[in-house]
Amino acid sequence: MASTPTRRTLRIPSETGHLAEVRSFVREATGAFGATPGVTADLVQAVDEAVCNVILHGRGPKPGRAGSDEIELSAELREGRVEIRILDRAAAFDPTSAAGPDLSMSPRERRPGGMGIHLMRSGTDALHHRPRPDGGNELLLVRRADGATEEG
Amino acid sequence: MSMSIASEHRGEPAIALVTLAGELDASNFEALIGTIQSCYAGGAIGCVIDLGGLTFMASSGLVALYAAERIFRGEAAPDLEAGWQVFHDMGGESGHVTNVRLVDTQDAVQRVLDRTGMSRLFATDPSVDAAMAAIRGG
Repeated sequence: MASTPTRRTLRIPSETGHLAEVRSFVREATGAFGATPGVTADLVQAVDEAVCNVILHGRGPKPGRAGSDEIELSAELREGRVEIRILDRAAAFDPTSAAGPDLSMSPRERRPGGMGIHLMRSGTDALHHRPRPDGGNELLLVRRADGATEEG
Repeated sequence: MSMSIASEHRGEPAIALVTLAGELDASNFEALIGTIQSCYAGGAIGCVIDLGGLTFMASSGLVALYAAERIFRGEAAPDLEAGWQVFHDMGGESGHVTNVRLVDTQDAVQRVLDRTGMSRLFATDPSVDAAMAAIRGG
């Protein structure tokens, strides 16, 4: 599989000041994988929201609690799909099970929360979460590079 | 730095013009709220936010826009520690806000506004002058 683009990785401290680096990483990787501009924009948005969630969630409510010090990202192209994996050491948290906003309601009347989750879902074909056996979370974001809708 | 913020007051009574360039995310949305608070404290009766140079907006940017709407209704700035409680604290009115308007949204930013339903709350005008006129006329 010599034609398969190289798997790319990025490791950042768990701080919002590094989100721009995350977006650059996603833009460059998806560009190298031949993703359409629309797919790239959607994945940049979705990954930014996902990593932001990890950073904010990893801070935790209790002072002194061990948070997620570092976040690892990897990007791969597999069978026409861009797969972006986010690994952290934060407390177990499954964003895919969180409720999204009720978009049928006026923005003024909605229950709070869920906008980031909604942007993650709307920008991807699939989101998979699993707790890491040795602590932390693995979140996989998948999107077809050509932007076609997944079937089945 | 991933975003620049410029602000000025125009006309009498003054309307604030806040011009953004770069990327609005969780690292800088509080700075935008601070700028908007300063504009209101400086006597502006409304706020036009020019997004023409903004190439990316995260959901935290939506919090900043909500905060702007709230500040210009004369309410206290939201408690950012409460996060999305900002949304819950807003009144039950419907339709566009009247004194905070957006100008020149790029595709990536407009998509976020549309996908989250926020474009129903914030009117977007084609130019700063049109937005200023709408606020004065409103």
